[in-house]
Formats: sequence, structure tokens, C-alpha cells
Amino acid sequence: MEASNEVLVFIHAIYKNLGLGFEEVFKTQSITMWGYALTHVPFNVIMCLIGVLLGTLIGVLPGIGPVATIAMLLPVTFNLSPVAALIMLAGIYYGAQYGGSTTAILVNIPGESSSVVTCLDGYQMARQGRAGPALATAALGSFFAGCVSTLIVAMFAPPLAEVALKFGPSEYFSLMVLGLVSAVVLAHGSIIKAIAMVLLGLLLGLVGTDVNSGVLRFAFGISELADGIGFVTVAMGMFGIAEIIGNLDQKEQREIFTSKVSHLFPSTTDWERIWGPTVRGTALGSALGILPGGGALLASFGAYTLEKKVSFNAHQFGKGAIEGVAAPESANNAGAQTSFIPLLTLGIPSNAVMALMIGAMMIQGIAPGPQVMNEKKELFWGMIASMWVGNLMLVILNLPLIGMWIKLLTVPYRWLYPSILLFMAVGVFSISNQPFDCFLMSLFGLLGYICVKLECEPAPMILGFILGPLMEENLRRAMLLSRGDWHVFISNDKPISQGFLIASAILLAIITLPALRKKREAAFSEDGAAQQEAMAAAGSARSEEIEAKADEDADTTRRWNVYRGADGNIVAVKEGFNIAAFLFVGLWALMKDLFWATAIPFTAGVILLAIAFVWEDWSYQTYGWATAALWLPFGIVYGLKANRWLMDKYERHHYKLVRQVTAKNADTAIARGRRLAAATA
Amino acid sequence: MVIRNPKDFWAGLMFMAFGLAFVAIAYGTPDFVNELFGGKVVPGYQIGSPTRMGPAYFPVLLGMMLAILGAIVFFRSFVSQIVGEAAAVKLPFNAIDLAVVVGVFVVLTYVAKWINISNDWAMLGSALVISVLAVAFRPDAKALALILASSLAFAYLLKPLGLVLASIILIFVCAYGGHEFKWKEVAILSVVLVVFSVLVFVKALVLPFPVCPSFIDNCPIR
Repeated sequence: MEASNEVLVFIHAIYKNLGLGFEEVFKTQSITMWGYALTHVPFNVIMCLIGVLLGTLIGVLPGIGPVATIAMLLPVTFNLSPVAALIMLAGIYYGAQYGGSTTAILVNIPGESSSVVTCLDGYQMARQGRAGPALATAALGSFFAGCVSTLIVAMFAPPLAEVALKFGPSEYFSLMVLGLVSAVVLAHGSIIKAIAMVLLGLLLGLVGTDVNSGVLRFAFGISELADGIGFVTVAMGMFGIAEIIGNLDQKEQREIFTSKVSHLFPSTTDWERIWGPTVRGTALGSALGILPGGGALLASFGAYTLEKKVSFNAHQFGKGAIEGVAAPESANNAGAQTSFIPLLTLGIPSNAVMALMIGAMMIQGIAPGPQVMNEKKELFWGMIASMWVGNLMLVILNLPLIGMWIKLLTVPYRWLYPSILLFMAVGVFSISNQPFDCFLMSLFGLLGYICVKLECEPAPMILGFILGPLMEENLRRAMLLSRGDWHVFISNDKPISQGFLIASAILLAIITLPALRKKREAAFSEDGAAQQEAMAAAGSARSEEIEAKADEDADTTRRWNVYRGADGNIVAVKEGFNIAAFLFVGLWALMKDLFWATAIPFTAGVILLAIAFVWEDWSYQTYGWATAALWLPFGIVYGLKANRWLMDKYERHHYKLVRQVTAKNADTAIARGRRLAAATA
Repeated sequence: MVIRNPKDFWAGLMFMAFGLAFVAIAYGTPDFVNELFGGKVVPGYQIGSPTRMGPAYFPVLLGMMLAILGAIVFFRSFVSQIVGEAAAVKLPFNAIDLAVVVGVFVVLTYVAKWINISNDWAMLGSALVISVLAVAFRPDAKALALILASSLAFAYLLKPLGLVLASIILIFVCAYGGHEFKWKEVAILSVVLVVFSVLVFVKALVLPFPVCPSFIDNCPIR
């Protein structure tokens, strides 16, 4: 290995580490089961399979989510090796993203909260007899997203962990503040109530013996509370029990789409329509998953909104556009996987599922944090490799098994909830073999039920609960180091801590702006129809505004070609040099769904990487210069030709040129074009 | 003063109650209360200083913040723009019911102490009393009460009655809380679930649960 070739070192490290991971996943072990000693069992692969199957199962079933399931299985993992336990639990989380889409498409109920937006277009597709392609799109999109985000985790986690190793207590405290603030921002409903729930969670997390002084806090003389309230107990009560009672409040009604699911595979036109949304959804989902407070839910909402803005078929959204299935489904899978990055590198959970993973690591005696990557190499990389293996299993198993999942949807809830309740009770009881834990679970079930009825989100509370002791510990240490000076968190000597706190303040400030608050409320409304209505209302208000300004700025030299589609959709393409295409080349083409224009520059980039890999001594700098040199000719060609390609694309899709108009921007051009088209017709 | 938004009203009250309770327990009761009762009612923990934070420092800080936020939510409920159906609290019980439930637990705990039996029986008794009360007087809260009661019953009966009987009790009680209750269906369900849980939890995962009631000496399944 040449030390001077930095690119080579970087790639080689990933290659070596992933190799280590795959070795760990496929490792054969000797196990004893029912008294029989078995040798050469690929135990980790089996656990991965169990995890993804279980995940799909609970994803398909509405009324039970990954949080309750993982909480239920936590005590079970006690007997497993750490790698096998984490592989299985991770499989449940991303498996649930797969399963959730099936219910969303066939029943119009989100099997999983992150597939709420999939209902909008997926169910419409099923009604048009295209359930097969919708299901296949969801599965294939998720698979693509899973592969890419596995690579992203492998690439970004090690450098981030290296940074995190330098974090002191003040940085950790500020990071946790940022994480909690983001959790508040992403919760539905009132912000004040969400903050209050976080505080309540933090306080409940403090119950038990104080580490520093040994004082028993808030225990009321109950000896079972000396170790604090178990996280599993709280999670099962607040999510599991409260969910069951909430479901029983409503009368059961479920209409399953009975039409037979036939011709699963998407057609050629479908392929042409889904590759772009899948890639964009994956990219956006991966980015949003890394954010503290992010994860699958945020990713799917974000991807659907983006797709509505940029898609060629934006006007068909909500009426069965396949893009509306591909984008959120790939995004939620990507987000589910990249949300492991903050967990693995910083030891900070970004959502309730990740908080449970921390619980799982603690059960195994592993303190989550940046040191895990160096000290438990096979655990870290085994888990990442298992994500890829698990995704492959999901796509291979799920398409043939779809019939079975549909059957499962016919199981009535009155059989389901006693089973769930029994497993939860057994799980909680087995943690410490004390009935008191079940009593606490019931208590938190009641609290969770009341909270839901009072519109207080339980998710931020759970995050606060897990972070409570950590926050107090880091606050104490930071204040001890600074000798009681509160400025330690915002002083210029601590730029990272300062940055986290400023980011939290900005987030809180932004979210209290009235305009954004409305949008947030619309985006997070559970009800798909209400959400669409709110979005449509926002859209029509804007188009009225544009309509009013249409004639105002006709007096420019910017010329636009206005096209009209067969279904009445109107688009405008500017003439001349396209600056966006010049600057962003492949990314621009990706946003415009131009396949070859996207594929060629990205392939060129990969070839460059290969050259860098083979060449003797390329530093990052040389690689940067080479990329720049490659980009310039591409940029010039793209800038000149981009608009021609767009027009060609519209003509290929039977769009007709209406007129050339002058206008300042695309919106007014379309408005004027629409008026002209109406006048001629 | 009219409560325009009951959801905020009760949420605010709940947050204030939690916040103040944590502050009171951590900080101890204030001096004038102590003087009134002639001694410390709640002793509290050490506060410490910012440099060396005592066990009370962080909880008092958080509890006060929670109480203040609770107060904001509480007072907002009188001027809220969200009114009517969207703000209505749809809980199947009221504050008095909740007080009765707490009362049942407290009274039975003291009774158990008085007649010198294990507190577990007090818990079981409370679960039974509350279930009967809910079924008789609050049919809307039947699901809520029976589901919570069934998990309590399971927990406190597992050691004396064993996994098989405790599971059957849990399944029947919580199934009775649902919309439809069919004897045969629930019986089949409980047989399937009992076989499954004995195989998985006791045989495969080796959880240390008694399978048979403690009064049976030689249990066939171990």
C-alpha cells in the first residue's frame, strides 16, 4: 500500500473493512440448540434473515411498528452474540420499511409511519390495476437505496468517528441539545408541547441511583427503581400498549384491495420514469437520515415533496404516478440505514429506533460511541455488511412472497393484539424477572395513551429519556472542567460546541416562523388526504400570485419555448446557454431525468477514481484538479446543449410547441403560455 | 375565563404537575411548609454548585423549565385559536376516575400491609377491582382498563400460577376488552399462543419461567 496515494489508502480501507464485515456476516459458528450441537452454521446470516422477515411482517401489519417489536425482542437478544443481536435488530428496522409499502399500496393504510406518502400514489396505482408494478418499484427502489446507503455509511462513518473522538463533554452536551431540538422540530403538533415532552423524558431518565453521589433519586423507596426505569419498559408502554389501546378505540375497518396482483415487473416506460426518482430519493434520504432527529419518516416526506417539484410528471402526482412510489420508498430505506451513522460514530440516537439500538448495545456491554469503531471492528463492519446482505434477501424473498404478505393482511386485529400484548408482557417480565416492570409498563401505557389523546408526541420523550443521564453526566463534566463557567458551551475556544448550539437556536427560530409552521403542520399531518389538500391549497395560492404578475415582466430578452402536453400539461424551456447545466452537469441531468446525460459524467467520475486507484501517487489534491479538468469540457457542452435536450425530450413525449414568449422566469412564462394556449383553443 | 382548548388545559396541568413534583422531590419542601409541619416533609437532595453539581441540580433545572412550559400551555388554553372538535379531549375517563384508580391502589396496598400479605396480592386485587368498575360504569374505558389489568394480572400471577395459566388469563382478559369476544376463537388463540410461548420462550430461549403452577410438584414440562 503506497502511503503517498491518499485516494488509494481511503478506498483500500473501505474495501478491507467491508471485507472484514462480510467475513463476519458469513462466518460459520458452532451452536447448541435443543441439546444438539451444530457446527458450521452461518448464524449471523440466519439472524439477518430472521430480522428482515420479522421486519417485513410487522411492517405489513398496521398497528405494530419497529419500535415496539425491537423493544419486545431486546430481552431475547441477551443470549445472542453482540454482532448477531445488532444484525437482527437492524434488519427489523429496514425490513419494516419494505413491508410498510405493501400495506400502503394495497390497503391505503400506512403499515409503517414512513410509508404515509406512499399511500397517496401507491393506492391509486392499485386501483388502476397496477399494484404489481407499484410493489415491484417499491422493492427495487428500496434495494437500490439500501445498496447505495450501505456504501455511504461505510464511507462517512470512519472519518466522522475520528472527529467525534476529539469531542469533549461540552461538545457532547451541545450535540445532544441539537439532537433533541431536531427531534422537537420533527415532531407533529405543538412545539412547546414537544419540548415539554423532551423535558419530561429527560427527568424520567434521571430516576434511579445518581452515578456521582450514589443518592437514590425519585425512587419512593422502591428497590426495583434503584437501577432506574428500564428503557424497554418505557418504550413498550408508550408505544406498544398505548398503540393497542388507541387501535381498539376505533372500530376495525380494513378494505383490502382484492384484485389479483399480476404482472409484477414494471414496463419499459415505468423504468424510464422510476430511475430518476429512485436516485434522487436515495440521495435525499441518505442526507436526511444522517441529521440528528432524522430517519426514515423525514426522508420519505422530503423525497415526495422534492419529486413533486422537479418531476416531469408532477401534474400526475396523487393520481397514481409511479414516481410517487419510487421516491419515498427509496428515501425511507436510505434514511433508515444512514440514521445508523450518528449512532455508530457519536453514540447519539437520532430517533426512537436508534435509541433502542443503544439499549441493545448496552445490554451486550458495549458503550456506544466513537470508540466502538476501533475497538469492535468486526461488530461495526459486520453490521454494515449485513445491511447489504439483508437488502438482497429482502428483494429476493419479497417479490415471490407478496402473496403471503397479502394473506397476512386478512388476519383480524382481535387475534393480533392479544398475541402482541402477551409477547410484550413476557419480554418486559424477563428483563429482571420482576412483576414490577410489567406494572411500570402498564403505567407508561396509560401515560402514553393520555399523551396521545392530549396531542403530546411520545417520540421526543423517548429520546429525552435515553439522553437524560448522558446529558447530566456531560453537563457535570463540562462545568467541572470550566470551574462553573457557563460560557464553556458558547466560547470561541469551543467552535464545535458553539456551532451545535447556534444550529439549535436557528432551528428553533426558523420553526416558530408562522409561514413555516403552517407548512410543517401540513407536511406532518397523518391523514394523506388532508396533507394533499393543504399542499394543493398552498400551490393554488402561489399560482394565483404568478398569474397576477404574468404580464408585468414580459418586457425582457429572455425567450422561452412553451410546450403543451397531450394531457394539457404546460412546460416552458428557456433558449440559449443553460447556466445550471454548465455548473452542475450530471446533477442537473439527474434532476431533469435525462438518463445518458446523467450516466456519462458519473461514469467518467468513476473511471477517474479507478485511474487514481491504479496510479502510483495521487493525493486528494491531484484528484481534485483532475476532476476539475474533467468537469470544464463537460460543463461547456452541457451549457450549450442542455435546453436542446430538454426540448427533444418533450417532443419525444408528444408535447407540442405552443408559442415562443418572453418572460423573466419559468413560472411567468408558463402562466403566459397557458393563457395563450387557452386563447388559441 | 372559558377553557377554549381542553387538550392544552389538561396537557399544561399534567406538565406543571410533573415539573413541580420533580422539583419538590429534588429540592425538598420549602421552609414555610417545613415550619408548618414542624420538620422536613420531603428532605430533598443536595443542590451543589455549578462547578460541583449535586444530585438535585439538573432535575431542579429541568423540572422548573417543564413547569414553566406547562404554565404556558395551560394559560394558552384560555386564548387558543384551536377550538371545538379539534381541541376536545376524547378520553373515556375523567380526572375523578383517575383519582379513584389511584385510591384503589393506595387503599389495597395499606390493607395488604395491615393483614400482612404480599403486596403482589394488593396489585392483583386492584387490577380486579378496577376492571370490574370499568366494565360496570365506564364501558368506553373497557379496552383501556382490561388491557392494563391483563398485563398486571399476567405479571403478578406468573410466579404462583406458571406461564400456561398466566398466559391464558392474559389472553382472555384482554380479548374481552375488544369489540368482539367469541369464546371458541379466543380459546383456540390461547392454545396456539401458549404452545408457541412455551416452545419459544421456555424451550428455545431458556427464560427462567415456571411453566406449571407452583402447587403442582412434578411438572411435565420444564
